Amino acid sequence: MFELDQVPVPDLGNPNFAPFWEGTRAGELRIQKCSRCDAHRWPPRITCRNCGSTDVEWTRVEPRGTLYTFTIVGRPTAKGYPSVPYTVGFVTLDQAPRVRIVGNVVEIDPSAVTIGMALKGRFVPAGPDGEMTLIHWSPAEAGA
Amino acid sequence: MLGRTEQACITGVGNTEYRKKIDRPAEILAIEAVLAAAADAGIDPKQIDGIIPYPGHIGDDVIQAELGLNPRFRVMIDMGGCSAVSALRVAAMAVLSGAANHVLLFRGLKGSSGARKADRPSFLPGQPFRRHLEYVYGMNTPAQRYAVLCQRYKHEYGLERRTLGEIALAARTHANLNPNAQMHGRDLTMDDYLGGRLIADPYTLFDCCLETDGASAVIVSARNEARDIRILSVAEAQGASPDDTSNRDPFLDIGLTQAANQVWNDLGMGPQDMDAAMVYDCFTFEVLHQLEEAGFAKHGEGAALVADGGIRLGGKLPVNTHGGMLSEAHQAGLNHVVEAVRQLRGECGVRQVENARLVAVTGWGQLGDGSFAVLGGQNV
Repeated sequence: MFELDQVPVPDLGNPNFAPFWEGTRAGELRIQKCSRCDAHRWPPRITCRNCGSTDVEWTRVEPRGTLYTFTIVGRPTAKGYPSVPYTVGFVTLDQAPRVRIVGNVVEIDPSAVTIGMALKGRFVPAGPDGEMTLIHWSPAEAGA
Repeated sequence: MLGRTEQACITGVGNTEYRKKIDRPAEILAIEAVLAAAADAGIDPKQIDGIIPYPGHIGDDVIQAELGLNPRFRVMIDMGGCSAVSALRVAAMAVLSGAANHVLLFRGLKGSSGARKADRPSFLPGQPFRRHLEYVYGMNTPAQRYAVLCQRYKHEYGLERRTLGEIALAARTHANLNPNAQMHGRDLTMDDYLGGRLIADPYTLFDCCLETDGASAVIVSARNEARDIRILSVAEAQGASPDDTSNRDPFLDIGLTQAANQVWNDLGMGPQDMDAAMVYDCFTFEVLHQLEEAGFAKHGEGAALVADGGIRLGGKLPVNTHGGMLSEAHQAGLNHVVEAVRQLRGECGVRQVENARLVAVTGWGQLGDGSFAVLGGQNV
């Protein structure tokens, strides 16, 4: 239902996002972590909101989480997403509970999607030449 | 904080017709609205010496050139739907400081027949986040971005579709008392509402504001005469993480919470003192959300205020008596200021709030910015 080869590719070399995109390409979810206070930082930022440090490292976390909120899109508005309905959700990461990642919730009828459901992510190529790797979230047995 | 501002008044308001597909260009519409506001204020348009344009709408250069203005004060306020009320604040500061005598705020856009929202340049902050983390998942419109707020509220507090429906119906009922409203003469029933096609769940068609061709204008002056409407207090603030909602904590935090508190404290007044409220209604839930954040209802209890005609004319708190952006026009909230002024002057005819003395106006934009004003007539 998605036409992932049609999805516009952002500047994958943008230094604030490149480590994230390199991670998804390698099949890993990597997020920012403050080198000074260890607080996770998301979306990617230059400065830690907790301690003010600009020192940052990227850390691998399991692509598992719970659905914090979502919408079911009923009218096509975006390139690569001509078929509706589809679901976009904010996923709270199990290993970084203050971080929410935006992504599509798939392999479940949108009408069955509920806040709090356990999700696991998998990595799917997108863009005209598959140069970008997105994360799709699908229902997971809690704790599995 | 600005504090009490009795000597800064709204002296003139004006607008064009509001509808879909007006043939005249947006520039002409904007000029019409500005001339109407100047006439309403009883000033020569050339006396306008301050100007606050709005990003994406007709620019101040056009208005200056066409009307031969030579402004001493010009500032862009780029806070989306928060800008109209924030601009009242900046205009009040300008006239109180002597930087200008008459400051013009205006909107002019072919929002219906021009480019669709998703195709217009976006002025939202956090564009890299949007491009890298949201657009790639097919999330790129205001309805989608606001829907996730409503969905979470629904999870935390419970929210019936009929409550949102009543917000849409109240707006339409008011628009049907306002001959200039884009949706005037088009009845909306609860069945119509419930049958609206899905836009971005929980939002369906009638939860979403209009797209309008039209223009509006407001003049703030260093003048305080019989017909002038006082900007009693006005404040603005931002929610946590103003450029990103996905990781905002608390998630439903918006700038209005703090802005409204400032105004209540400043005036020694509270929600119970207001005769009406003009609430930035980009989407139905945002009316309820802001009524709670501004203190008109406790968190999770906004539905009780909305129920039983509570926000309709004659109810506990008439809200958006012009029809709002849901049913009068999308003027990025400037039409809310215009309506508040007309209510306080007693000019609203069949939709007049009896003895309206104090009207609250909210602004809400850029997914984080909130503004709040209390306006009053000379009898306050």
